[in-house]
Amino acid sequence: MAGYAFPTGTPIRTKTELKNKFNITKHRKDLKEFLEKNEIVTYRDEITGEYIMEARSKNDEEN
Amino acid sequence: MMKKTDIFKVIPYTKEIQEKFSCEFDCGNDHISNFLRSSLALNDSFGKTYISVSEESEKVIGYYNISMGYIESCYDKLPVRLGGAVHINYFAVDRDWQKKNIANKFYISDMLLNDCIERVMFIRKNYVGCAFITLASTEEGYNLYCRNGFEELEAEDMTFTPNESEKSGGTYMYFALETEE
Repeated sequence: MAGYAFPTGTPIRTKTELKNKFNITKHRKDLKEFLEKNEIVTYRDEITGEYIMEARSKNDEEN
Repeated sequence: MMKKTDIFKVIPYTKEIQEKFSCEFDCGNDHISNFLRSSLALNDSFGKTYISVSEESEKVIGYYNISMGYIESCYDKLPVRLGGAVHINYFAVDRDWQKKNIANKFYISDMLLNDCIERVMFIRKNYVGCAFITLASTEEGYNLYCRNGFEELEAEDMTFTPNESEKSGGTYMYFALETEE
């Protein structure tokens, strides 16, 4: 036997209902858009010893 | 002078990486830090570990360990499987990297979790179908998972089987993979 169920506690729901309940969060949407345009670089500052994370535009690299 | 930098990437964990980088890893939780140094972190029967290393600074940034799982519900007093899942057994970022962010918004933990979600989506699309990502969150990790779309399991009608280290607590959460499509 095979079926299809959803994470709402009610075994049978429509896909539209699921989509309405679980929209992507704004934070995650922003992050995905950000990572499409940028890559993340990491390094350690030689003077302060601090660990650094920066974004670098993918367009800059192509140019 | 040009700065020497590493591009943030996440790769499968190996014995060589463990021997070279794991000894100084400290996420602030001894149990989760020590897991990276244990043989279990390289045991495919337990889970698969993925890691981000800054080779330039010879430092582990963070890691996660995943395995297969599921969410089930109770229907007419019988357990009913709601869908397959990939379970995050461990997820951690080193203390030195925990507060690092871009625009006061995107943290290393967001990048690492994004890699995990993308990896699971790839598995789902190409190899093994599943509906969820599940985990037992620590208090410290709760905000990270919430802002990235995880929700608390409604404990009364949905559950998954926690692993040994998760039995003692944590908030059980899940991420519906449908939202990524």
